[in-house]
Amino acid sequence: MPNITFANTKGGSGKTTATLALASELVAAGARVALVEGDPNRPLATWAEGRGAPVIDTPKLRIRDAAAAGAILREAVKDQNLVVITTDNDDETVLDWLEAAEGWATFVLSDPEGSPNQWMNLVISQADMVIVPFAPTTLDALQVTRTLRQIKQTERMAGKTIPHKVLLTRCNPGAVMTRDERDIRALLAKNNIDLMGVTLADRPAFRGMFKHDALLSELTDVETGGLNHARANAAAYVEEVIDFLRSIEKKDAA
Amino acid sequence: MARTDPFAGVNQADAPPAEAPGRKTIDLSDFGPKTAPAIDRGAADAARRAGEESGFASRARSTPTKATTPKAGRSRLSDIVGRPAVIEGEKAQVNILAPADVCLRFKDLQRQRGEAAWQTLAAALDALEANDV
Repeated sequence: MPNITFANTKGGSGKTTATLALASELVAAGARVALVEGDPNRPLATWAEGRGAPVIDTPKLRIRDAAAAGAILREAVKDQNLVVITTDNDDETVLDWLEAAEGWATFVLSDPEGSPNQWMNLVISQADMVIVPFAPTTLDALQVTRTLRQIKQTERMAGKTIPHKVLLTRCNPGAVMTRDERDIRALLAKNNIDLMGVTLADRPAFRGMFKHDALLSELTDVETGGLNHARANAAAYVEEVIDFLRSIEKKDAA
Repeated sequence: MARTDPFAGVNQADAPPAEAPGRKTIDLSDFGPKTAPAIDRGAADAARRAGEESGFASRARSTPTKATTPKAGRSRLSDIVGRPAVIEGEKAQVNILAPADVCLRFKDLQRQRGEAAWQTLAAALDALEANDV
């Protein structure tokens, strides 16, 4: 049961889009997915409510422990395979909800608020994989450095490895790479920072998921343009994530 | 770094997808829910300490327990200003002169909560009332 966290201390880095693109493909493939949301703006909860998917509004609930959270979760999901657990960045109970989600879901995806916050640190500490979405601009590079340092610091203090990779988001979907992107790729390579091979391009179909409260697989050509390219992009993205998770499992087993 | 031709490939379309998009079956057979999920409390404690050292913000439960939507006709504002105040509309405006650090704390809190100023104010009032301060 992989637990994947999308982390960046800066907002607007494409965390939520990357989260939903992955969730969308996993759900379409039949997986049970729990989205644990830290952002008080609640974009994932809003999306889920729009499509009638269950949302657990944790600030309205009082739980004693993870078992109580699990009972609420099972009651909420019934026979559905997607749930959003929205927490408004409350770091007191997020670990209980995370534990409850891990007992139900095939994949748990956590989407923190884009700010330096403890909620993000806590979910990072429990993650099997951390994806650091990053729109390749110089301004964002400074914040991604801060996020990566924080992951390293948590690794040191916890005495464990937290597998993580940078994912370039909001890239130019065409054949032309921006100069910023090229320069940043070179800098990441120079500093031995793991970069995912796939990038998430800035595509209308990814925005369309939010606009139409839909999974990528549910969108139609009438609703959004460039659907085929977006689906190919998302499929390559999911494949790389799954391959990485399998490589971690193999490494752990060895 | 040498500047490349900015127009290179400008007339090229995206490369077509290699296969029918979104239709490939992903093999997830080796993934499933944890049979005995357990949080790594040691790692969580370490993460908390790492966050504190970096000055990361912590947010405890702070949900308003009462409705925060002002009712038409009369507002709790009258209690604050100490004299009866009747407000006819759904909303009213209040301008407060306060020490700069208080203003900064308020704006910072509002930014962290990602909500409108009135919602932060209402939450603060509810918290004060709930604690009978």
